[in-house]
Amino acid sequence: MRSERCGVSERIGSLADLHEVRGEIMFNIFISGIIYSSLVFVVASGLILTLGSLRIINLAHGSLYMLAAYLAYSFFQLFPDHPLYFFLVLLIDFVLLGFLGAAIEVTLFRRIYRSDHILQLVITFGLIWIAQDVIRGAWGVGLKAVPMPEFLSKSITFIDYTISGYNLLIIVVALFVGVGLWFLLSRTNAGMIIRAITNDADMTNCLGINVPMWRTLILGLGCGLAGVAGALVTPWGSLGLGMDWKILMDLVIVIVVGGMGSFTGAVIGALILGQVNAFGILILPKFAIVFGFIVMAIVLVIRPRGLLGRPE
Amino acid sequence: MTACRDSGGHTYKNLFLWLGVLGVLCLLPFVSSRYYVYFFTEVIIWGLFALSFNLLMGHSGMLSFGHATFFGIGAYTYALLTKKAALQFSLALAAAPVVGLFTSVIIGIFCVRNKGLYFSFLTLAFGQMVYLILYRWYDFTGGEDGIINVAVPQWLMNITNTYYFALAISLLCLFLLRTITNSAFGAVLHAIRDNPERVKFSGLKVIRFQLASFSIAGFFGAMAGGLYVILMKAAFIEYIGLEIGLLPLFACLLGGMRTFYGPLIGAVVIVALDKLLGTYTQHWSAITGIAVIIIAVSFPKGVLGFLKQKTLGKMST
Repeated sequence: MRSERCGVSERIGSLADLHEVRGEIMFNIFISGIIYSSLVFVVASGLILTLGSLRIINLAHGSLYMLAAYLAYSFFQLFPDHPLYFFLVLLIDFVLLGFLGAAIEVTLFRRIYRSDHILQLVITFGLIWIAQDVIRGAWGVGLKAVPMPEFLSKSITFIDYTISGYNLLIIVVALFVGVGLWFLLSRTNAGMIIRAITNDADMTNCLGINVPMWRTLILGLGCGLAGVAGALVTPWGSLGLGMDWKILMDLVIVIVVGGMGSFTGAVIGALILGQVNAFGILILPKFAIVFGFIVMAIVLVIRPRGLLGRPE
Repeated sequence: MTACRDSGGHTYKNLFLWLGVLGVLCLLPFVSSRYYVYFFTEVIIWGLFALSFNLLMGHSGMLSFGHATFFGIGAYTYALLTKKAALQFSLALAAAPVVGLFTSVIIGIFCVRNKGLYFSFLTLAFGQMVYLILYRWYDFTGGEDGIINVAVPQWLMNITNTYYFALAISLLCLFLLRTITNSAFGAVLHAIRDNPERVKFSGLKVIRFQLASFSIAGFFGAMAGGLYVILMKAAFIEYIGLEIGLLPLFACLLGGMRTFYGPLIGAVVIVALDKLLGTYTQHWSAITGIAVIIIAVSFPKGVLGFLKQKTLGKMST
């Protein structure tokens, strides 16, 4: 990275320079892929947590993420631009969406654990419709955007490469969520209970553990993670009503590619999706979105249960 | 197993019911205004679409979120063939279900290998893929603008004729679907729905039957799409979207997915709701969402299934 600022075309003086510029562009694309992977992973981890222990796939997870983003939009307009407030909004979204998730569990999911899985899917689909209408009613159909918080718009330069503070924050949050969930699930008593519920909820209940309460907590935590991701994505670009479908499709790809219910699989799936999206735009901008689906189809042909999915 | 078959004792009653319904449908254009003829043409087409969907959901136990794909493909096949290739009406209309069958076999090969949630997910993903391709391929499909002024023969410009045409085609399709579900093939599908393991143990290839079911559903779904274009004289990108794909789901849930005719009742209700809610309120999607949740939680068997259970209960006591 040169110290003086100048255009790319002026800098390509020699072949060595050309290589340097191309390397930089490639790096930027790679990083943009990584950032999207990180974001999708945060949303997907919440979904996988609930998928495993509730045995219900909450298709409305993407809608909750969208709701969180719109809520964050309103909060950002309310609060002054300050790092403290930014993290406060993250926290508020986490708590609000967590309570919403818990409420959904208590009022709705609790009734349908023993239903046909077709009905379960249909019911969560109903939630998508409701969320969409609520958001359209409360915030309108127009695109919404907030300015990037000042402390995140600064760039940070490592040895040779530059990365913006915002991108770094997303990666850090994803790492934090990933490590935190790993620690929670494999190193704590609560994690042991969650894994027990995932394995056999009835037997866990017989052991005197209050499974309904734990399920409420788990869905709360999962939706809270969607809330964090929603708040994080708000300064990225503009928010629109199509967000829920877009993220739902990406979640489907991540979970199916990685293997349903596997956290490591979700990490791999998210990384693949991020890179496929980022480089897909470079190759065929118009149809870039389709590449993710093609990857998914290929993975399913080779391994019908996903990369890390276990046969049932 | 026998839930979808007629029991022998009711044959005459059913025959009279059938003739009655058929008579009312045939006489409808003579007694009602053009608005209701139009309304019932829509009901007939959505009813056919819901029946094709129920072959998957109710009879085979496969929840497809991408059934609109075939509706849309049928619609676009007819519209593009008459518009770009200036093909004859009958050939273009016949091509719609054939192309639907073709694509559903291709998509089905990928999807039916996977069970339960994976299957639903994959149909969703493939549906979105086809949607995006048609949406972005502006030069060929018109993208967001869709294809308007689709040519139909002169005699179909009249709504009454369109009504009779749609009725005839749909009744033929209904007869075929009924034959399929009442055949040995249909019995295998029901068995797969209820217990795939045991069907596998008895030596049948479950995946082949599921693929066949998926393809047949695609065929009839595309037929409905083709008919809808003839009614609307335009094909829009919405036809292939998720909202359309969920309408038959709603119709089947409402009418009762374990019955054969339930989806038809559901189709009447959703078209009526669409017209009513569309004129009186903006919050169509929230009301639909709440209705779907309430029905799925409280009446998992649907209206017809609920009535059937009641009458059966009365008979046994």
